[in-house]
Amino acid sequence: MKTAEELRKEHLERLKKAVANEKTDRPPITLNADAFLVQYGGGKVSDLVLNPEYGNECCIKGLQKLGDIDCGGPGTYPPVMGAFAFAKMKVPGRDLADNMIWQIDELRPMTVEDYDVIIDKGFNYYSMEFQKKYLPELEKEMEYWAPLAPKIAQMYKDAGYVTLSGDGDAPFTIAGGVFGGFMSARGSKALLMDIRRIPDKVMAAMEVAYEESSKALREAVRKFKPLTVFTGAAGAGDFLSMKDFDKFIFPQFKNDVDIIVEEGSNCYLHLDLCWDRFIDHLLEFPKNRCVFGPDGTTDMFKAADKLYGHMAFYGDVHPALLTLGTPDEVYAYCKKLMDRVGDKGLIMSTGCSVPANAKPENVEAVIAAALGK
Amino acid sequence: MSNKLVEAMADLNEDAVLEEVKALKAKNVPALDIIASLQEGMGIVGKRFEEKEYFLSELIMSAEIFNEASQLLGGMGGAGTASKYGTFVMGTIYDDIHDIGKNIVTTVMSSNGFNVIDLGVDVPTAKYVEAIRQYKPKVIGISCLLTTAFDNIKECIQTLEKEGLRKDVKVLIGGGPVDEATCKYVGADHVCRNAQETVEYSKKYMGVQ
Repeated sequence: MKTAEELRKEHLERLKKAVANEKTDRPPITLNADAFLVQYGGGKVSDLVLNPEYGNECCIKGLQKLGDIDCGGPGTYPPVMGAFAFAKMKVPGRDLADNMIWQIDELRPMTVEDYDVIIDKGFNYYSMEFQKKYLPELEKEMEYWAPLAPKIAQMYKDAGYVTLSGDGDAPFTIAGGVFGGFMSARGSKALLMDIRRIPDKVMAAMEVAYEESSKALREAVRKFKPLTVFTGAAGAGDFLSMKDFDKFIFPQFKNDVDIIVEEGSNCYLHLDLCWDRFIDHLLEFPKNRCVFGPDGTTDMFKAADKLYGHMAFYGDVHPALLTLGTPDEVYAYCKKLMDRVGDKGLIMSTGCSVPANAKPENVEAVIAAALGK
Repeated sequence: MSNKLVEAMADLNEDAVLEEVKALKAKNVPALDIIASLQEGMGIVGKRFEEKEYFLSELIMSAEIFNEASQLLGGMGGAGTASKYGTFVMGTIYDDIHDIGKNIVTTVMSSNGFNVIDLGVDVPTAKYVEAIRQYKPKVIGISCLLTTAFDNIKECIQTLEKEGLRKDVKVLIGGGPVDEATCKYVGADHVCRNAQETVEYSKKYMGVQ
């Protein structure tokens, strides 16, 4: 029987190899599955809100029940998640029923005039003012969570788990992209119209915001050296033409990747929506330093035709398959994925996150496939 | 038909569209004729979207320009075209408050000649039933971004059946996690992957050229 420390070491080594796109004895498994795990481990989704220590304990029990999972944590407290999205959070146990998933209630406070505020005073200033005005309760939530977060992260470590982004002493490090931030603040529809009506103004504000965010990113990666940095870019799918993607999104996305790699870390590319049109762009990223992580929407197998050998793969069992499919269907998908890219650099996971109402036997099928059962 | 207006609309030239609408109005061209030119332009926008020349930002912009132009004519009602292609009812199913996709679809449907009834988010089944009875749409849309809402869509569609409303209405579903398996599970008629697909499906079903 291995000790938790021995398990952690084994998990970390396996994960590091997979991130570096090297051969592993089996794919490391990571599940972004808090709302599922808390229930699978005997609790309610609302426990993560009302008693986060207990809720995360249940998640750990859920992980242990599933088998030899490599990654877990660093811990979840849904009420603070709105800070990233200029949004209030509706959470179970307070605003929603006990076993409902938390939801982002977007406020979209940013006006056309606010571009000038950002150009003059910066996006950090704008964000702080927004929080003071619209999310006064967030400060209290952050104060509550700040001392708990390291304690809960330690619980996961003590159980033998590692995390993909922010293991060891490094906190969870995120480079979410300026376009995504503006989309949250201004709203997708308004931002998409702004980039046609006032493109220069939007670009000027984005450049100011990016100068701040890229500086903060470099400092954080240099200081903490996480295994990977959670990075991505909103605005894929059918949102933008290639011309606009190349103007408003990709240069900053690429620069984030370069910063992360220059500072000695790696990139977990968390790619929401369909990236089929943009796969060639990802070949510009440094070889063997990125993990391609689609959300079930991008055609993983077509992407593999171009990216296999260039970067590692993450995922990506579709959430609808986990909810409505059968274990045999899930197992077959995972095996197909392993046959295609599994001889090196595959991290077994699901697209974006495991739904709160995924069938337990379907999640068990993902694990069985990865463990070679 | 004003070719200048059709072209300006298709090219998303906002200033030129508004200028031309004002000029045509000053020449006493009937509002219906002006709207017809705008919709001709919208048809080209839709085609360019399908051909991957345009994307969502262009689709949304076209809807915005169309709405601005129709306001100059006293709004769609004022132009006498409110239900040119019939009524489309849409909402995000109950227990789900996401509205980005729903808002894009209602905006684009509205500017493509449909009379849109937007029920909002977190919409209970009773509200769909009431809206179908009141507005008698041929097509309705149900949006969701959560797999936990699949059963709610299924319950809603089953209720429409029990209430005897299902046979007269096509149910379209859409949203991030929705796929063909979901469509089958909930008993919907079609999955729409984007706003333009909703326009095309609805036009085809209603026999619009």
